[in-house]
Formats: sequence, structure tokens, C-alpha cells
Amino acid sequence: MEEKNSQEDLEEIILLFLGPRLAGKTTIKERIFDGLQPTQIIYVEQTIEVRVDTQMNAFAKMKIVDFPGMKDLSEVPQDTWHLPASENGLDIGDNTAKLAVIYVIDSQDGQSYRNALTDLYKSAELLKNYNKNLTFDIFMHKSDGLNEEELNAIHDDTLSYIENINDVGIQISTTSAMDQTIFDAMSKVIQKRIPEQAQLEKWLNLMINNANVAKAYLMDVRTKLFIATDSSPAENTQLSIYEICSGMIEMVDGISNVYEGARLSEIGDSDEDIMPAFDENHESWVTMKEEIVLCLYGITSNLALVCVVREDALNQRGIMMYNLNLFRQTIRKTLEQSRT
Amino acid sequence: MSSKKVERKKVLLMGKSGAGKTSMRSIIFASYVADDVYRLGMTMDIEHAHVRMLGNLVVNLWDCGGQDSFMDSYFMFQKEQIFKGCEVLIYVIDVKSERPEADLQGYRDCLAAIADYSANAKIFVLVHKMDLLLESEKNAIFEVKKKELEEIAHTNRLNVDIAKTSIWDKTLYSAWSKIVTQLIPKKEKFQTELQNLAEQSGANEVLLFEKATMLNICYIKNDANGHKTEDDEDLIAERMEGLSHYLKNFKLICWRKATNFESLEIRTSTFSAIMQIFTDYTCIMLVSFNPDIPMWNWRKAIDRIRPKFQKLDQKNRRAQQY
Repeated sequence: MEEKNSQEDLEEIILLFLGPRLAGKTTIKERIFDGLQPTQIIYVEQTIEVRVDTQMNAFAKMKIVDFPGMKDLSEVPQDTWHLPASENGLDIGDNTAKLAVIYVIDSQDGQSYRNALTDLYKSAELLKNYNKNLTFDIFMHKSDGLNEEELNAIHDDTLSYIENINDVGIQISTTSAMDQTIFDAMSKVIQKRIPEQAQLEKWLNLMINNANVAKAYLMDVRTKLFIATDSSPAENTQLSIYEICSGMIEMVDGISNVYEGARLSEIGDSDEDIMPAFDENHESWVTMKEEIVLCLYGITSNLALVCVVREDALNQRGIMMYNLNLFRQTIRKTLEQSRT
Repeated sequence: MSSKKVERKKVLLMGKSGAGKTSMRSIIFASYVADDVYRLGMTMDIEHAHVRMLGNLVVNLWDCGGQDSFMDSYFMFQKEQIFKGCEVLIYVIDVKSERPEADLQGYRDCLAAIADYSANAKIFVLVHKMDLLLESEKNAIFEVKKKELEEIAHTNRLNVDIAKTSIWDKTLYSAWSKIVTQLIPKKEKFQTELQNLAEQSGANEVLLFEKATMLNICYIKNDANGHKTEDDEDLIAERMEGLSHYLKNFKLICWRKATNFESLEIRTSTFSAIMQIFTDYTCIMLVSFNPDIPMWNWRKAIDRIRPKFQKLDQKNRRAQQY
């Protein structure tokens, strides 16, 4: 029997970034969780100390631990790993924590790449012994400078290297902070740590069949990570659709903010706390060329459903709206239940 | 059908080397973001850019390199070619210039040349890079500069419109919106039509954007009772810049993915908005603080007045053929 306290702890997902120095760990963290723009990446400074940041997202509390690449994990005594960073620990919880380890490798740096694999091997062994529940992911980062052939070569090389430690299901993703791949990869890492994920996917599948929707994502409004998508086969265009969907959230959220500000100054009530403009009853539509329509549908104040609708499905808008609303109510109920 | 003659309006962009002419041109017309301008190189001689706009208007933008040797040659050999038939002159001054005297001399020469060759041109002076000044000194320094610049203009019997700008905030967007609005033929007619639309549709705001640049070219506001009201200009400018920023960003994402978007509808607990491609060169946006307004009503209202605007476009075209 778990007690209330430990259940609250269970809600927290701990992300641990590892990897050689200058691999891009801090950039990834800031790009996703702090809204860093690609043009600003050159200003990111090297991390020297362990840095811990906590954030509330639509689905869970996140604790993000950024471990400096110039340090060696094996040199930090294991009995201090659960201590907060201020006491020279890692703050990664005890052996029951929901730990998601992300090992970042600079795929453009052929020299440090070999050393990184050795370090990766060592770190994975240590962490595996510390916390049996962890998930482990490798990001082959800075992939924007390489062609597909080179990427495949590195991918296979890494895969063969980790073969004998791969009893924790290590996954390798190629990522770049310049495009959407990093958001895609991070979403998948987090999905593994969300217990409701399978159920959400089931409901999404049900919903898209009934509402005549082509593709749907459940997205965190602030970070644009998706916690679930339907299981319709991944097309080549999937990443572009995801990128357009997150672009749409950004635009719609921005415009809503502009007019929320305008409305407040209109009624002369500037004392009122400025609420985040996105709200749970939000509904917006974008018509793209080639008869594709996107719909953004608020679920909670920071969770949104984004779907791709074929324009002809709009003839049955009533059915669609009925199903979307049903979906909204179901998800809200589930989230409420998992929070109490 | 045979003649595709369009109205060309010549816009001169001048100023000393490094004042920021090409940066602002890139941000406004080529959808650069402010972070990227450090990549731009120096402009050699004159770069021409044609920007197609509302009512088949072609803005013929001359970005004139500002190095001393180029400037000298403009005034010595190419004076007539450059300054003749000019509709708008935009002179950019770096507020933190190391050689303010040389800047003023260049400005003086330009005004003299404009007075000779295109006395009716509208002149805008942008006191640029205001972000380099401290917040507390901005206004004082600007007022001094403004006075100086106006005096020079008056000795040439010219009127100038002086604005402070920076690529890092809304000022650049506002200044260029004003410049582009200046170029539009028959803007009063647009305004009346849109005013009517606002009243009929019950929208609190009706906005018209130039499609390529997302510059705001018309702004109509109704208060809750349907009467026209005056609003704080600064607030509106900020709002327009915000809107155009978000729309432009999304447009860039769509471009990268080889697609584009045609309309947008937003409904929250507090407001409703609709944005559509309106004519070949414009986008229209309607906003209401009543979240329950029926969208189909608005769609119909927009469809109803769209032909009138297209006709205006065509009329312009025909008028230009003769």
C-alpha cells in the first residue's frame, strides 16, 4: 500500500541530462522548457555546476537535472545522488523515482564521439543499478549538419555498442535544436513516463474514427510537447504536421494574449491578474491550402488537442464537435482523478 | 488585357553607411527576424527591390549603399537618375553615429536633391537604433535631433515626418506601416467600406494587413455602442506589431513546409477573431470582445464586401493604363 505522500512524489518526472561537454544538453533544456529561440542558441553558456529546475506542465511536475559534461558521474558518490544540488547531490530521487535519463551526444564531433560511448556505457551501468525503473534515451544531437547516410552510420554504430547493456530498452533518436526533431524525441521520452498514456492513445484513436479526423495530438500549450497522439501510421509528413500544429498553438496563444491585454485595458481593470490567455474552452481553426483544416481545442488551461481535419469532414461539423466535446470531458475527468 | 502596366512608386532608402537601412528593409520586406540581421553584409551601390502591393501597386525600393564614395557619386553623376520621380524618401540616421556632422551633411544633400527633382515627395526621417540609448535620455536626445532635422528641411521648404525607430521593438513596424499606408491609392474609400463593415457585423475592430509584409494599413475601431472611438495610439501600435509578429511567424513555418494558410478563426471565453485572405494583396481581420458572435455571419459579411475591394484594385489598374 502506497501512502499519500509517495503518490504525490510519483507524479514527478525527473529528467536527467548526461553527455560530454558542449554536446548541447543545456541548449535542449532551454529550447524546450524555457522557450529559447534557435537564433539564440549561440548565446547559451557552458554549464559548470549541476543545475536543477522544476516546472509544472499539463501532465506532470517536471524536475530537470542538467549534469555538467565536464564532470564525471562515477566520481559523484552514489549515496549523495538523492540529495539536492545545493548539498552536492544530483537530486534524482531514490530508487523508486520516475527517472528518465537522456544521454546527449554531439553527432558532428567524431573525436569525442568514441569517448562518449565509453562514458555512456559506464553511466548506464551505474544508473541502472541505482534505479531499476529508469528509462534511458540517447539523443544523437546536432544532426542538422549531417546527411542521412552519415546519420545512419552513427546510429548503427551506437546501437551495436549498447547491445549488451540494452536490457532497459535504450532508444536512440537523432535530434537537432534547430528544428522539430528535438520536440518529437523529448515528447516520446516523456510519454514513457506517463501512466495514462496508453489510455489517452486509445481514446484518441476512438475519437479520430468517430469525428472523422486525420491526425490528432494532445499537446502541452507552453512547451508544445505532445503527451499522446493517435496510432495512425507515421507518414513522412508527420513531423511537418507536428511542426505546423505547434506553430499554430504559438500563433493562436500569442494573438489571444494580445487581445486579453487589450480587453483588460478596455474595461480599465489593470489590477486584475493577467491570466494566461489560453483557456480550457478555447477553440480555433486554421484553413491551410490543399483543403487541410487544423483545429485547436482547449482541454485544460495548459493542455490542448490539435487535430488535422480534411475539409470535406467539415460538412459534418456537428458530429465532429459532439465528439470533440465528449473527448474533452473524458480527458478532464481522467486528469482530475489522477490528481486526487 | 494586353498591357500589364502597373503603377510603380519609387521609394528611396538613404542614409550613411551602417545606419541600418538594409536591416530594416530585410525585416519588413523579406521576413527576417531581428536576431538575424548581424548576417547582413554591406550594401554595394544600389540594390533594387520590387515589392508588389495593394491595388497592383509596385513599390520600387532603392536601397542606396551609404559609404562615402557611393554617396559622392550619387550627387555628382547620378543625381537626376536617382532623385527624379521619387514618391517617398526615407532617410535613416543612426542616433549613435560616430560622425553626426557627416550624417547631417548627407541629409542636407539629399533634401536639396529631392527639392530639385521631386519636390512633392513625402519625406520620412527615421532616427534609428534608439535601443542603444538609455531609457531616461531617449526623449531628450530625440527632441534635439528632431529640431535639428526639421530646421534643415525648412530651409529647403520641405516637410518631413520624423520618427524614432529600433529593430527590437514596435517602432520600426509602426513607422513602416505609416510609410506604406502613404503609398496606397484611394485609402479613404477603403476606410469607409471597412467602417461600414464594422458597424454591420458588430465587430469591435476591423484590421487590414498588407499580405506580403503583414504591415497594418487600415485600423477601424468601434466601441461597445458601435461608435467610433479614439484609442491610445501607442497601445494600438503595440497590438498591431504583436499581431503581425505572430501571423508572420506562422506564415514562415508554413513556407518552410511548402504550404500556406488561408484563414484563421479564434474563439476563447473572452473574445472572437477571424482572419482571412481578403484580396490578392491584403488580409482582413475582425475582432469582437463578444465571444458568442456567430462566425458564419462574419464570413458572409466579408464575402459580401470582398468584390468591392477587388473592383477597386481593378479600377486602379485600368486607370493606370491610360
